[in-house]
Amino acid sequence: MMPRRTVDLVGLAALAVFVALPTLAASWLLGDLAVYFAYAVLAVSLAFAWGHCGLLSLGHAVFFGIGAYAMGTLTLGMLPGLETIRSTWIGLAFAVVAAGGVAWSIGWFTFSGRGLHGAFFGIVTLALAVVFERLAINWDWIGGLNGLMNVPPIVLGLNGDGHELWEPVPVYYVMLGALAIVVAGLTVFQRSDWGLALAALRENELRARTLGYDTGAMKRRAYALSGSVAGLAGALFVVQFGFVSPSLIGFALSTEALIWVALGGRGELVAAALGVIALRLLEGQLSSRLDAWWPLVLGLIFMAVVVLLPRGVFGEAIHRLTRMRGI
Amino acid sequence: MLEPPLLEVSGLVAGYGGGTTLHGVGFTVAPGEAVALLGRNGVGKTTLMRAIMGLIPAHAGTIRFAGVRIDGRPSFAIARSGVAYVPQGRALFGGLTVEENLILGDLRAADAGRVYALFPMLAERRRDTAGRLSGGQQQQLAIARALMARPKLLLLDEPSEGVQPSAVLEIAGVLADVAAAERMAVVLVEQNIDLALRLTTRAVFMDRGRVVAEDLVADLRDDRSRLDAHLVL
Amino acid sequence: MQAATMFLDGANAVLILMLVALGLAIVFGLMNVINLAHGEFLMLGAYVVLASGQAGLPFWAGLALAPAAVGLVGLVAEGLLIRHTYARLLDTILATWGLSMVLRQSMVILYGPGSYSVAAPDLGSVVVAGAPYPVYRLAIMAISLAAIAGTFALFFRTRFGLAARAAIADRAMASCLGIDTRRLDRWTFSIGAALAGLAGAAVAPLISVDPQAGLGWLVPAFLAILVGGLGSIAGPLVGAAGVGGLDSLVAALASPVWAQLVVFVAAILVIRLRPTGLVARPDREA
Repeated sequence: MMPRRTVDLVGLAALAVFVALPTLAASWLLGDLAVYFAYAVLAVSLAFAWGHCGLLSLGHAVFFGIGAYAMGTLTLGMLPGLETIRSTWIGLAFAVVAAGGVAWSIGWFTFSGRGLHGAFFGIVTLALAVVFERLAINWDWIGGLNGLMNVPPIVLGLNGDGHELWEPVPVYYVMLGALAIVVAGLTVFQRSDWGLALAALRENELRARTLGYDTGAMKRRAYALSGSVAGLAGALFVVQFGFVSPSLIGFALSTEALIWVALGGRGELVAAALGVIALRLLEGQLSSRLDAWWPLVLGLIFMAVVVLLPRGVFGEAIHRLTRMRGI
Repeated sequence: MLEPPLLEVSGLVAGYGGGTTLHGVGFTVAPGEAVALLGRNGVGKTTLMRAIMGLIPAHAGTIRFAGVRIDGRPSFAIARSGVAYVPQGRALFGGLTVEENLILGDLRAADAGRVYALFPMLAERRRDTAGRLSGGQQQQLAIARALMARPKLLLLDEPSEGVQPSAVLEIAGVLADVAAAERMAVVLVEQNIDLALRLTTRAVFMDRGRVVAEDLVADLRDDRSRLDAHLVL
Repeated sequence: MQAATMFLDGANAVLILMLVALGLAIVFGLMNVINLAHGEFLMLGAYVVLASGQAGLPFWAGLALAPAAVGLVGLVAEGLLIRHTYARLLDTILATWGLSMVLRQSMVILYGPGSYSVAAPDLGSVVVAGAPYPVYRLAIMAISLAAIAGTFALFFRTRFGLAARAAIADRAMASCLGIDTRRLDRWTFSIGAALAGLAGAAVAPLISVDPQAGLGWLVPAFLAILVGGLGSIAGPLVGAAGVGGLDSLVAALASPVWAQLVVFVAAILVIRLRPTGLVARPDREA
């Protein structure tokens, strides 16, 4: 069944382009893009929490970092009692569960009862990222400031044996596949009854509550889902880079993720994904030329987009296309 | 009309959010005139007052005060040009004292002496928190606050609500005196028809977001059936 | 005696945090704006002291200049940026987040990413409970108390403050009484920024003056507001006392890392148990 919605068509078109790309592109570009795909999974998780559910998570990288550390500690055999388990697959599962678990706990503290004003929830997540980053820096067992190194790449076998995925092209397709599955899966979820209820909650939480919805539970679950996807992103990242450090868990990356999603588009997962990929490609070109001015320029663009283009660049484009086509 | 109207509403279309409650309202108020705005619940009387006060935007039509267009202007500018508003429920600052509430009526005033003379009860309670006053006292405070700025037009929405009848009469008396002395025009929304007719000289009837009839109060008092006819519409 | 020094240092930190939290709370109460650049206002205050020192001015001149300069920055920021996002609360948060990025990076460009130190004026020390304590630190406490008292006086003894309190209670009605709420917003935001700037200037000799300096105060200030509650002006102060006090205590007994963790956990526990904060809301509307 051919999707008719503009956003889906845009997503599929982009996917087609990315699938075909390895035939044309140099391997360094594929390597970069593969990392950007992992970041895109983080962006998509944030767009889901923020754009769809209305949960402004200012410290979202904390889940990315937890996922990365989880994957790293497991596949390096650091976890007491689990030293022999080196499976990539269990590592991924661990990353997802750990990150999702922390997200759910935060939700439990902040969404219970009448819950916190949306903005203050954001502050709590920011504080979380700051605290976790500091913990990571000071916790020598997980490497302290230097973090963990020599984290194994994706290993196809069941328990750390078998083919290791190093080459750019296979890694590229794995990351692209993961991103595509995440976007597709979350999109399906967003359009399900659950997802629609969450959207209603975002629009008017009071109304949702008077209609009988347990808004606290809904938000907890949504945030847990978002957190676990972000954890997955972290795991996908660490198998490419081979190391994880406190910078992946803290304030700086959280801010970057916020910029990606604001610029790309918080309202559509596809827009957020395209946004981070485009922005990173752009940054690759401009940041060496602009040096210390690049973050400043980025900040100014960010402010301008927030004020003038709240749907984001890709989000606005998709919105207009949708209006033209009617669906 | 011997002189130009003080308030002139023409073709006003307005509503809350995306909807429309007023579908082309037109009426005028002369300087110093007291007009009653009557009609069933929900016909748009309060909406009309809020629109005049700039609290909701006008989609179409004009509102002129003393010859100058006020639609589209911010509420504080409308207030400063001489319009005072006592909304339904009074909107007092419950956590602030009587005196503070009064001063807020005119931040440039040296003190509230003039208004204390009109409402001696308030002078006695000047340090009490507004939230502790009775219904009647709060209404006095709300009106006194509005009078601080010596408005040329006073918009009163349901002043008798939640107030004992004896207190209502007292307030009505003060209002009548002030209106006469300062040549203040009044637009009064009231469920209590007798009170409304006692305080005003002209009645404007609304139904479903429009003005449907007008009559002089003198005529209405002589012939109650006309009043009933207007209200039944 | 170590305990006395610990207590005084803690009191120091608490008072500065109160100043910062107060500015944040005032802006939020009136304008419903959550200013994530507030920490940067503090950072700018510290840099003003640095710059004025480099220009040859005495420390106290820098201290006096800081709130004015940062207040001006706040005024400009409100006019150019904040006023455009009033209707959308979450976007205001983002806009101020962007502002904080821009302010941080501007200082990186102007002064470099490294840190500077500012020398405290040499006022000597005083013996407190058997141990010497720098007079400058006592001066900071006095300055903070004076600023907090001044803010209270402004809001509770002046007509400006009365108008602001009215607008916080019921913005629409305040406007109907002739109060220009937009102008109030502008000045209030500026005052909030000035308070942070003063705090930054006062602590400049005690911290490393670098572009990231503001962040370390933003989170505790917000946690203070969350814990204390926004229903009254006492809320942020109570929250700051709690957050700052606990932080100082644990930092002295264990380490700053533990302090940050403990404060965070304690804060979210309080929020869980009392979402509106520790200080109850007084009766607001009639």
